Amino acid sequence: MNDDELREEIESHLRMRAEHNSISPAEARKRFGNSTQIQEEMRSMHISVFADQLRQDLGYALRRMARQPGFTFAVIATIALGVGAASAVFSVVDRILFRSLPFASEEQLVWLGMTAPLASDEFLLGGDYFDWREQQTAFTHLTASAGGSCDITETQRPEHVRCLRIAHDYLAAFGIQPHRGRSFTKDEDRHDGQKSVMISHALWRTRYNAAEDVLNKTLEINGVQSRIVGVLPPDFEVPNLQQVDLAVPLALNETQQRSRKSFMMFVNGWARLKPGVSIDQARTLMQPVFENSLQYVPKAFVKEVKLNITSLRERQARDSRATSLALLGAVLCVLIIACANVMNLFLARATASAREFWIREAIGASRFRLTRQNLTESMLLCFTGGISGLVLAYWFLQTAIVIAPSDIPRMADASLDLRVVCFALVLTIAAGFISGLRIEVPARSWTRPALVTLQIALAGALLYATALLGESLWKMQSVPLGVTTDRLLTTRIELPSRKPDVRAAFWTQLQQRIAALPGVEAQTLSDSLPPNGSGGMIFSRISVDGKPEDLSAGTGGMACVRTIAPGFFEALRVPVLKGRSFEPMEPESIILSERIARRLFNGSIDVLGHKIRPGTGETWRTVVGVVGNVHNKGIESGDPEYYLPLSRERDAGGLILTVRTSGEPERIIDLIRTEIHALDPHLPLKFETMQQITGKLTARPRFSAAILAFFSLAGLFIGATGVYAVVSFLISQRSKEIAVRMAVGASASQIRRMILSTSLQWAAAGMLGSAAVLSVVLPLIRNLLYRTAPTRPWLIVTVLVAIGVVVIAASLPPARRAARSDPMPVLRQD
Amino acid sequence: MARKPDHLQGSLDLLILKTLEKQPNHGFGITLHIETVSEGLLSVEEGSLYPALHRLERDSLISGEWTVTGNQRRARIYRITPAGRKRLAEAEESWKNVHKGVARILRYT
Repeated sequence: MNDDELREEIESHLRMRAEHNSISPAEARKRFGNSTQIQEEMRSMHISVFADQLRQDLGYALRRMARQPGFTFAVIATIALGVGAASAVFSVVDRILFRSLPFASEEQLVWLGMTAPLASDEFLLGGDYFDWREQQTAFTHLTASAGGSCDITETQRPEHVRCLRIAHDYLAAFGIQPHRGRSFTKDEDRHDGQKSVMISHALWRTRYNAAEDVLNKTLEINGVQSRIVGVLPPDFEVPNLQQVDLAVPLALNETQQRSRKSFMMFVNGWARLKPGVSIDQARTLMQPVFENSLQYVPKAFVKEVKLNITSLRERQARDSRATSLALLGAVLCVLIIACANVMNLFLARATASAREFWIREAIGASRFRLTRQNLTESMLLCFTGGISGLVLAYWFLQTAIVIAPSDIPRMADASLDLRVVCFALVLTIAAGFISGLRIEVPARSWTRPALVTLQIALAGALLYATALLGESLWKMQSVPLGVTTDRLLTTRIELPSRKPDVRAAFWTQLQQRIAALPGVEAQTLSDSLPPNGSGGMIFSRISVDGKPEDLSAGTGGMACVRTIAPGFFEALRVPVLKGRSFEPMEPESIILSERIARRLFNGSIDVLGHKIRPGTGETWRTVVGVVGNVHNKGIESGDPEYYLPLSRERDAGGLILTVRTSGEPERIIDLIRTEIHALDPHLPLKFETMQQITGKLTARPRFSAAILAFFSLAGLFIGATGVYAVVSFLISQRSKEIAVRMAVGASASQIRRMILSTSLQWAAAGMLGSAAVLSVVLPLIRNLLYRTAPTRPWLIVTVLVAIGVVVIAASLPPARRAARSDPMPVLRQD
Repeated sequence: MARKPDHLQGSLDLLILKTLEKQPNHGFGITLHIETVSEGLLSVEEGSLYPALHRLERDSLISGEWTVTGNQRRARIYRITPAGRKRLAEAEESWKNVHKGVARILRYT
């Protein structure tokens, strides 16, 4: 019912009255009474008092917010930043640590296998896999897979793809239903079984346009026709987090694997616990089975091999856990800083406007009404901040996804988690609510400085952690890898389906063609490339002429073996310390790295001409050179390394072509591609520069350091606004004292110093707090640091100075204002 | 928040409801009806009628609707609702009781 209608109703009454009594409209109006007031009364019948007051309060709050833009902005920005950062990070971390895996009853799934110093992951040997499968009693399924790559060798669109070899009951064990078709049969999982393949949902869409008739079509994989029997579901993922394009049967030769005589396949073992069986029980049940397998392990290594059964989730989160927890901690710090700030801002303002409220109360406003008015305002601010925070969170998340390294599992499909958003909102709103309520009770004098100290403590801790990570990152990036990384172009060429003779001819022709190209300074072929390694040899199996074998020493760890073509050290600029590099056609020679030479020959590198047999099945080889050390385990220097010349026997089918260019490596890509395709037009090629490869090594720490840096800056910024607000508030509270001091002759600089010394006291208290926080946190982030001690004196000093500077910078403007103010009006007040 | 009266506020509400029980009417009609039926004994203060009407409407005892009257004028016509009838019955009862009580006291003295 609007005002017009009310007025019309009264008008119609007046008209009828005038007509009925034959009087003038004016007289009728007089008789009616005060129509405006009556109209007001009528309206009040329709509006609930609550809504009306709410409207009043909202209007009042909006006016007050507009009158104090600085305060309004500080509160909204603080909440937005806190909610935004918290929601974004929780959403990411939640996916990594807490999300449910796309497997049925995932809590029953375990990763099982043996661990040994030889391998970083748990593994099973083919023979053990068959034994364990047969003898185990703890699981409903015990299955296996092996990762790898393969080539789609169709003449149309040849592709190098990621292949997963799976046992026939792999999908069943994980409770995965094929999207189309079926999984493999037991017969297909035999080494002589029919070749079949399942394709990934992505491949089905890109290569087959999601055609329904894809089943029973054939696909040539590594030169063998395989029948497509099924399509994997879209959310299919492998527990060890690789992406998969194709799944083929594991198809081990059971008799051969069980004989344990020749080549033994390494597989990953997975199992599903029987209902009611715990992991500990499973370990006990598996122990005899495992001990049975130990009889095949060489005596020297037995004590280094262990059984390992871990829940899938725990095992999966292992690598990301430290980073995730560090992020969570950082975001928690920012959230606490933000909440403290919101409370502080509100408290400061509430005290500033206390006088106004006392007056209003004195002239009759009810306490309830005043509190409600205050709450309306703080809620409005928190709400606005929360909404802005949501927008920020979305934006943070998108940014994080873009800058995140691709190997962080499931990062790309992280999305804002509503529960998390609600949590952050509730937290800040609670802070606002508490502060809104506090209007009547003047905050105790220690509350504000305590809150500021808390902020400084957390900001300082964040800053120090960031600085540590930054230093560790810098060390990582400047670690010498043993090779010169600029102007190097690499591509992997896979020829697994060719005959050895064809391959050998291919490699020779390739090297000739590439070497003849303009802009190529040097080129080589190798089976792996620093900073990575591929092959490994048990160190104690390497025999040196005239040195007795010592089997009691255990494995002695691993040695890295690299197969290289001539020109390797020249192309990568690895210094040749003694002797020379390989020449063509000398299959019986060996080159040692400095490290392995010193270890094999008691510290000497004058070892040219010595005979070495790398592994019991190998031939004796002559040392022709000793070269500088290179990394073979990424950022870690890795195992001691030796080099064998590329030969027909040592050619496993795939090699990396490395080219040192005279100009920008990218410019020569097309030339090289043309040359390779002249030899084989169907080879799938992917080029990478060496710097792209080494860049990936630090991608993850760079990401965490970037995020942490962002948080510590946010924390520092929020903390600074907190200091500013509280200093301003304290000055306004002490304005009389300051005025008196000035009136009796204190100089402006004395006033400034007095105020600054108070803030510096907080800063000092805050830094003690930082030290306390760090003493808890540092042991936890130790794993994230690379060759960086957690206590770095110069970093501590830097952070101390930085915090001091920020605190002073935040206190200086209000201190200056106070020092410049005229004492007289203050003294005349009241 | 306005309190919902558990008995009719004064006699004006009772008179309005009683008037509307016979037939729907607009505000002026109600005034006129009360004046004529009470033969001038009761006169409605016009100003207080409309707030009372709107309060009764808010409490769903009557409902108002704009209509066009016989002489082509727009007027807001009120009619009693079932809830209004119920309330009227209760009010009439309590009014009679009050009336009876007061009459007894008057007789006694």
